[in-house]
Amino acid sequence: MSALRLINETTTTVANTISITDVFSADFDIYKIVISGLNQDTNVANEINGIRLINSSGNVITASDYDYAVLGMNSGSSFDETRSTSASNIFMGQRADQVGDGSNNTVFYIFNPFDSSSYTFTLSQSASSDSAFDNINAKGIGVLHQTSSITGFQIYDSDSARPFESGSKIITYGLRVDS
Amino acid sequence: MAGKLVQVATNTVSSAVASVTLTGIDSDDVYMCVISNVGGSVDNQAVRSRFTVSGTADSSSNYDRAQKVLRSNTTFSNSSGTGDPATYNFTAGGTGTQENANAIYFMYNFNNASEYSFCTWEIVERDNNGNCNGSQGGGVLTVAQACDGIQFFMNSGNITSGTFTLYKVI
Repeated sequence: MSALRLINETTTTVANTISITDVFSADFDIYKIVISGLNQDTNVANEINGIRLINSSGNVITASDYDYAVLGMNSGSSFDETRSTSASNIFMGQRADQVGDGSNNTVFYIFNPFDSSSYTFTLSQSASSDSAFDNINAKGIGVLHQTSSITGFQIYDSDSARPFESGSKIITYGLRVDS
Repeated sequence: MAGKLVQVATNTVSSAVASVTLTGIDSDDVYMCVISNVGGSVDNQAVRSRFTVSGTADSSSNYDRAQKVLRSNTTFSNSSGTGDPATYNFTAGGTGTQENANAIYFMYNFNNASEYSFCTWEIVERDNNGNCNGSQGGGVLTVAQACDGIQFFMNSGNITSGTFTLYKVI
C-alpha cells in the first residue's frame, strides 16, 4: 500500500467558497492537496484570495493570524513578491478565468494541521492562466499562527460576483509515517 | 505496483540528538524526504544536511546550492554557494515557541555511482524572530559516487524535535 493515502476527492459545484471538511485527523501529520482545473463561473480574469483553515469546531478561521509569502513568476511581466504577516487567509498566487480562458492548478502541502499544540504550515506551487495575465506561476509558503486543531480548509474568493465553476477536482491525500 | 510512495526510513526525535540520519537508498528511483516540526537547542541556528555514503555523511566541500528565500515580513532574497561542506538551505531557526521547520526534499541520482547526487527542496519555517520564511531551490553534491541517504544536523547545538521520513517514489 502506498504511503500516500487518498482521503477525499471533491468535485466542485458553483460557489464562492469551496469547503473541504473533516479531512485532517490524528492519522497523519502531513497532507498533500491537489487542485486541478479550478475555473470561475463568470467571464472574469480573477485573482483568488487563497485558502482559510477550518478548525475542529467546524468554523472557518478568518482572524488575521495568517502569514504568507509568494513568489509570482509571470510569463508576460516581471516576477513579483507578495507577503503578509497578518492576513485573514493564505494567499497562494492563484488566478483563474472561465472555462476556455484559463484555470488554476495547485499542489500544496499542509503540516501538522490536526495537532493543537503546533502551528499549521503550508507549502504551495501553482500554475495559472487567465485572459488578463497569460501564464502565472507561483511558489508560496504560509502559516496559521494559532495552536488550533485544524480539520479542513476552504478555498475562497471574497467577491461574491465571482463564484467558482463546477467540475473542478480537489483531492486530499495523507502522507503516512509508520514508526 | 507502480505509482506510489514506499516508506524507507523514519526517525522521530524525542530527546536532543546531534544529528538524524536516514539511509536505505538502494535503487535508481527518485526519493522523497519529508520533515516536520524540526527544532534546535541553540537559538538563531539553521538546519543543515549532508548526503551519506555507506551510512556516513560526506562532509567534503563539494556541495553547491541555489535558492530563493521567501519571507513573509520583508523582501525576498537569493542564496547560493559552491564548494560548501553541507547544504545551507534553511534560515536560522530559534528556540522560541513554534520556531520550527518543515520541508520536502526530492532526491535524484543518489544511487548512481557515475553521477552527482541532486536535491530539490521546499521549506517553510518560523525563524528565531518568529517570522515565516522558506527556501525554494536545489543543490548538488559534485562527487560522482553512490549516496545512500541524508543526514540532518543543526549548525550549532542539537536537534530537539522533529519527524524525518524517507520515501521511495515508484
